[in-house]
Amino acid sequence: MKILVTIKQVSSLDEDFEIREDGRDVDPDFLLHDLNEWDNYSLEEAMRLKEGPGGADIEVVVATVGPDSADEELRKCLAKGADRAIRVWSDELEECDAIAVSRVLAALARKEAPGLIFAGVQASDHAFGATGMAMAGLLGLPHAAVVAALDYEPGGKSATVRRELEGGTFASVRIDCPAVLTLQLGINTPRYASLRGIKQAAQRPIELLDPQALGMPADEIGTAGSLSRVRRMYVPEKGRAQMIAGTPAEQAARLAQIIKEFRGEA
Amino acid sequence: MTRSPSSSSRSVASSQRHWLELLRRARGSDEPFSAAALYPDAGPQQRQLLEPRLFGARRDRLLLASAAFVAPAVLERLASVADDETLRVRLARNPSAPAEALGQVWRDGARARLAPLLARHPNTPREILAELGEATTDLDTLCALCENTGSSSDILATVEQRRIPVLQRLLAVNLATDGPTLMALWRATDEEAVRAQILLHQHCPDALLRALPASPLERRCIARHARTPPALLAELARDAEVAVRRATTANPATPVAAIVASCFDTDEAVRRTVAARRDLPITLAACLADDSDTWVRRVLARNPACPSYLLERSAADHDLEVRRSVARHPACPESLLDRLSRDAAPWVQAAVAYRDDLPPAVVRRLARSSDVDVLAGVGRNPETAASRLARLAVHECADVRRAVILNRQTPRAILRVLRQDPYPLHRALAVDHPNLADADRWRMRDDPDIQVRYRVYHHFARQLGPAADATGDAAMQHEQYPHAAQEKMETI
Repeated sequence: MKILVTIKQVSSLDEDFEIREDGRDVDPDFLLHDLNEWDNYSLEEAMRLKEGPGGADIEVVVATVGPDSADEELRKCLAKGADRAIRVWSDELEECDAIAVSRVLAALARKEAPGLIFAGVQASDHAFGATGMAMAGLLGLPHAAVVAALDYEPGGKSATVRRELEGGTFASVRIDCPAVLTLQLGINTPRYASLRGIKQAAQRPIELLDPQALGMPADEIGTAGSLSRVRRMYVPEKGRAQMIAGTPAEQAARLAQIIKEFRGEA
Repeated sequence: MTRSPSSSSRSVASSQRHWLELLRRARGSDEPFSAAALYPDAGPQQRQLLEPRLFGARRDRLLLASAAFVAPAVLERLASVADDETLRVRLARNPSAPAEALGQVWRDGARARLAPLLARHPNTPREILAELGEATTDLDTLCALCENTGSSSDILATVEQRRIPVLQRLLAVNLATDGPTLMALWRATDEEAVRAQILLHQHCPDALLRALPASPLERRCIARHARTPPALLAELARDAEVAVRRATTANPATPVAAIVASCFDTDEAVRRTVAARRDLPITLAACLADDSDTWVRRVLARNPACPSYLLERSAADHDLEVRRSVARHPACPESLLDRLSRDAAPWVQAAVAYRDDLPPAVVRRLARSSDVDVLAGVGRNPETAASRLARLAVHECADVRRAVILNRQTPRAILRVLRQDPYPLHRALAVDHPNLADADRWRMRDDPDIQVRYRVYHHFARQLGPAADATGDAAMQHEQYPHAAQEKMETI
């Protein structure tokens, strides 16, 4: 049995940053890269099944859509015990949205034919929360989002998942497999990679594929396969909020003055 | 032991080889922090060779400018090559930026954006702060100046003379504000919040501490002041306001005679502060030992002034937190510790396990626990046997393994296991352990984690950098690295 874990190299920002000249993204000099936090949990859940009862035959395959730099995140997953790592990339994928990424991952899933597909609920940078569920739709597979607990016997025809809902409620759902699950933070305790694992992962191959090798038609690749396009990225101008400094009495006086100004009385 | 001239020269040559390898690795690294760790201890020529790695790419310059752990020498040099405003802003925000770097940033940068940042930075040169204090009209900058722990009393006095009401409380809070400025503030305002801060200030003029203020907030502050006259404190101990009584009983200057009644105060918070007093007489301690409030009994059981016979009673308390406090009492008798180490609650046992004065038999008993809190205490205990530490060093709980690293008695053999711990923080802590040998640290120079490598490089830079002479500079410049020599470095 195979578990496909889709991961993403996410970007984080410092307090001050600059927007790229074309105004559609952040200047890459200001980006710090890391493995998406949710994906640590997805990988751990796959490893938990692999290392648990009946999991000896499970093959954990991690996959991502991203440039060379994403190899670093794939190697982190290999260091933690993943069996294979696949990166899909071509220049055409440079500006694709979450749906176009899902198309690539769905094409890869058709090729790999996993018994389960795990994705994070969302990525910490763009926060679409769409990739996993869009992939399920494209594959026509049963799916469950925001999974907080998973009960699955390797090789079984179904799994029972606990989904996190609004207001602190949960839903227990039985789902047929193969299935796509997006996993929530806290579903397990992710491990740290051992030094030996890290050293071994540095030597292991990462399979590099392009969309054509997955048999994707040209009109589904990159911007052609995207349903959205970033027109502009910007920091909104500061609103009218202001901090009122001073002693409580001074703050109260200033607040009263602002209210009067607002009413046109001052 | 004296070394022969030949062994001494071999040692120097070995140091040079190691230093050169670190320099070579830092220059070829994919991150700038290894080079930053070496830079402060490198010679002038070696610094020049490191600078392209440190400052060559804008991305690296930005990373270094906001890294608070980077040495001031790196930030000073970075300020001199800073060529854009974002970089200067990051330097101005970096708490490690030295005065020279901040001065450079101020000379080169856009002052409107930098002024509030430099006004807040404790390392900003005095003349810049003085300039801002006299001339700026920006309220944010002035507020930052008043909140700056680096602002001197004369600068704060200059700001006070500008009579800006919104700054008065901030000036009264700043520890550097002197007595005359505080007095000027007092005269300039009848604002309760400002006056309260003045009364709390360590430089508050004595004249202000002699009268009983009408406002409860001001009374609370005067009750906390170390120089408030005892007679006034005695009066404040009977105040109608709970907060004032609590502040008075917490003040070590309050005479014991004045707090006797506080032992029976209707407010438990007042009784708690009495129970925490280091000068608590035994008779008062006895009154509080049976207090209905758990916190009073907890605080009393940890108070060094609490006598042994009361600890005996508290050790049988139904509340486990009180029993835990007994186990943390600095003079808890051995017999009580023995009894508490058998307590039904692991939380109480854990408090015993963290003590450095335990008999070996008690440590051995606690080491048989399966509770991670207890085992963490055992792991950190200097009395724990090496064989037990070796088992705890591979415990599945990270807290237990970390406790072994934090134990100053952990022997080298166990640290060699822990330097390969999966958790990077543990490896970083292991680097600084006094029992880890340099040969072990040297093998950590390839660690995949940046913070671990930084510590390793920093450790060797302090040792090897100053010893590297001009020969090292020249060798570095010409990239002379005999491969055979590099292989031998493994056996430092």
